[in-house]
Amino acid sequence: MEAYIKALTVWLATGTEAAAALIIGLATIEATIGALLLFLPGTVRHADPQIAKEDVRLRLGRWLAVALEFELGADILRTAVAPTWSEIGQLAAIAAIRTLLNYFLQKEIDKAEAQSVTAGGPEAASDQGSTP
Amino acid sequence: MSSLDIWILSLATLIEFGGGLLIVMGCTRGLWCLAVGRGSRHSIVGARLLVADGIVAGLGFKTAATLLKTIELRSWDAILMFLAVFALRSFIKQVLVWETARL
Repeated sequence: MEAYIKALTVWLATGTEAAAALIIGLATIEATIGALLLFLPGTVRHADPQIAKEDVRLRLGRWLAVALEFELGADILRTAVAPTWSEIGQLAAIAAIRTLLNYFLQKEIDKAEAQSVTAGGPEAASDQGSTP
Repeated sequence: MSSLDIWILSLATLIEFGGGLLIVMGCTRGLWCLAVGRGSRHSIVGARLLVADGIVAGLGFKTAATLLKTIELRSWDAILMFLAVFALRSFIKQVLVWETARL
């Protein structure tokens, strides 16, 4: 039974990682399109191109933070099936890197949002309307 | 290994798998939240919270299972490995609880 459950856990971890990969892929496509649109006149909704660029960057950052959360979930699932020291060490290193990455990403997002709000930028106002 | 040990280890495996399912459920709910909110800023924050909640709940189960598995620890190598996994999970849990409070 244990072997079966471990195999199932590996599958679940792989599925979670696939979801993270999908999010990163879609977010990158969205950011690429957003960045390309910045070059076309009349398609940018902000007067200041700097704010528009920041908007694209922040949006990609938020998506990456979600994807990192998914990847962390997959890492934890894999701790159930890590029998060697080498695998546990690698897992710990990756989990620590992802946690730190998420921490700094969130810090950057918070800072940029605070700046945007002080400057009366679009972030706070524009996304309030898109609440589900 | 006594028959009681086998029972406890099987129970620990099942509890650990339950924790894994909670994590997957959190991720699924996060994906659903993203799909329903069509990737808006609030849906992204909501999805992160759902995934973090799932992971924290799952880690609680996994910690319980890890504690149950201590009955199997009869060598220094096994004890150190247990400590490493336990420390890793505790660290991630603390960070996620802190992150959830910030979001």
